[in-house]
Amino acid sequence: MNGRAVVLKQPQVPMTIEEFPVPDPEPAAIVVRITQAGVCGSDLHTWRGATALQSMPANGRVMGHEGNGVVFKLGAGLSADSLGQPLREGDRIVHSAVMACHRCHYCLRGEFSWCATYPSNREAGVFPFFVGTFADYYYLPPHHPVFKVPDALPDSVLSFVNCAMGTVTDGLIRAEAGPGKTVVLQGAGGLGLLATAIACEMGVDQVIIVDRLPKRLELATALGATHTLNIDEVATAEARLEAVRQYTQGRGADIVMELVGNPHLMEEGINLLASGGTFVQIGAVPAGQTATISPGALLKGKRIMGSLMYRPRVIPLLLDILQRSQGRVPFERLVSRSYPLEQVNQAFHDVEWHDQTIDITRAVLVP
Amino acid sequence: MKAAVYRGDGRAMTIEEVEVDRPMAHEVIVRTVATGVCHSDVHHVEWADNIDIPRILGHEPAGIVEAVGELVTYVKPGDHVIACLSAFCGSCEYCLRGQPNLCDKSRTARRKEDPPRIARGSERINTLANVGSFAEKMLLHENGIVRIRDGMPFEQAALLGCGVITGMGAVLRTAAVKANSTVAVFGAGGVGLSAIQGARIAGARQIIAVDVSETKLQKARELGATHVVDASLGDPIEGVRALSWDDGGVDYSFEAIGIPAVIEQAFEVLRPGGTATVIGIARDEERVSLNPRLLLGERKLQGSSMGSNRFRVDLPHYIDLYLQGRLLLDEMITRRYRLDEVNESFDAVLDRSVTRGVIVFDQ
Repeated sequence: MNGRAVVLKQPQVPMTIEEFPVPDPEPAAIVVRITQAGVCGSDLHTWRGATALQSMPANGRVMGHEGNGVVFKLGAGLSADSLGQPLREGDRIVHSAVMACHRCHYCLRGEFSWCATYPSNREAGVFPFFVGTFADYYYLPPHHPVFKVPDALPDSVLSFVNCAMGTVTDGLIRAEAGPGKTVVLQGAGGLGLLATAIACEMGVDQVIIVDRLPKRLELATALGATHTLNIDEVATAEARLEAVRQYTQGRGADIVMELVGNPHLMEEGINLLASGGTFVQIGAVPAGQTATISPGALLKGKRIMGSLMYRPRVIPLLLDILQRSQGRVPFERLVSRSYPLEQVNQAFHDVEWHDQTIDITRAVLVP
Repeated sequence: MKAAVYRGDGRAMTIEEVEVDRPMAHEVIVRTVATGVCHSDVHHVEWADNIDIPRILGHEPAGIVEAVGELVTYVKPGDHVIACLSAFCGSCEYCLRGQPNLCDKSRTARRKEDPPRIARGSERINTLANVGSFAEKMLLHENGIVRIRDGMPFEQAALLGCGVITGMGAVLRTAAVKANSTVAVFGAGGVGLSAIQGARIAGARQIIAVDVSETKLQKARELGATHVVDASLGDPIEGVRALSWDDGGVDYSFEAIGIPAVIEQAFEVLRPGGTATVIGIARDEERVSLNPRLLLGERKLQGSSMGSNRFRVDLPHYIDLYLQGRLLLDEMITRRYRLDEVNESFDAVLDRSVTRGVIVFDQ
């Protein structure tokens, strides 16, 4: 039996759909039937060839890393998810999109997204073939972290759990978001919108979100943002600093998160911090671009840190947040368009973020 | 002014006419508008102690500044304030390391050779925790008050300064409960309910309230408990474990009563790596007994003093939470009294017929 997968042969040429044999799972592995796969900003980076983190394999790369599905085939000996809940074929699951060896220095510290050992180039045509989520199937190696989805959750809130939502959440956790803190989010795309809602669920006091698209800022408000700054209206860094200070009794923000991948935002972000605050780089900055800051601006205990993907333990937190916030937080509004797999090139064209009239927050591919 | 004075041996307080001294350089006079009635006030009468008698009890007030000492710049007459018993000197070792709740307060109290803050003729009247809020006025050190915004109602504000900050602070500061963790709170009185609310605000996934009163457990559900265990119906350790993920116990537990057996239970319900925080006040002669093997699973037992608070930072934040509708205080006040009903208010604490009682003063 064969299945389809989207393959990128080289950057900036249209992706193609190729067929591969669906493997039988090894013991304790899982073959997932993909329900939907989100198109993430870093997929666009990969397509443009602009990412510093990934190399392009000779046979091309199977695309997609975000998405969810159902258990198609369970490998021998596997009967429960990572929390010990019984798992059967046909069950809906969210898998960790962080592929890791689970035995290197970083994995043993619990930092699976820093694993340098696991092959990350998703090479097309190599066993187990289904190594990207823009496909009919996805292959999870033995004992990979998976979490059964509670029956109460609709598929419409699941596509972004294992990438965008996990990523912003672990960034917030690493920056110690919580009650009493004020968070500034640079960018109200999928990451910024999800960060807004998660920060609120983690108990932060205020979320100030910065973007230029009014529809996104409106959605941010619906997701819990206490203040929005439209950079077309609050047009200078000085004006934004003044606004943030005004909302924080003159102190500045405890956490600033960069969610766009624009290196110029770092300098402004550090200025927006209160003493002791943390700047978190999450947006993927194209290779070769650099930021300029004044190191002296850090002296009052300010920190700069990066956060890549998440630790798998974040996923149960997210499934819980989605459940307890049902009817209160409109997570289902995050996905505004879906495309069949064959239209992957059209989907990439439509979500290309340089178009300022865009009304798409996130798009999904439905195989 | 009128004040309720406790004269020892567990006798009822008497309403007496007393005099307030003039504020010294760093002191303020605050007119009491509302004050909570806390179980730790009641302990003095319940346990019939004779500490510092005659003494004005009460330590959970909100009010309006009436006069300030010559060096006070933080407030001016007319400002609304909450008085907190964790006055800080700002310069002792604990204050210098950012733990002002552990300040020994010797520099914010009057010295022995100074005139008494409150007197009745030549008789010195002491005040509980240098607050003594069962009185129409209080003479306080300026480092024992926090200015609050005018729109905040006084009765709700009063609760923040002790009961709420003790419970919420134990969760948010002492234990620093993280989102998605699991929490058990033993005791659903004013402090326990505040801990439950703190856990809800911090995003805990599961909040298990344990009490022996169905009424209190109902209130706990209303304020954020996701599960309840009625300890009058069976072993609460089994009850909490059965509700927990893989029956292994909870990440955080809080003891908000002060009973050794309950402290032991709070420790026993932890999963490996968990932390039990003791908030409740037990009597000095009490002892707890632990299974030391459980410590090897990296379980921790710790105490919390006044919620590890930095009240001038925390209370304005709690007021924001109240005004945003995230911290529920109206629901906690179930009875209001006049000052001359203070003894009835103590009885209601002892017969557990009240969530939080507040004494409201005629203005």
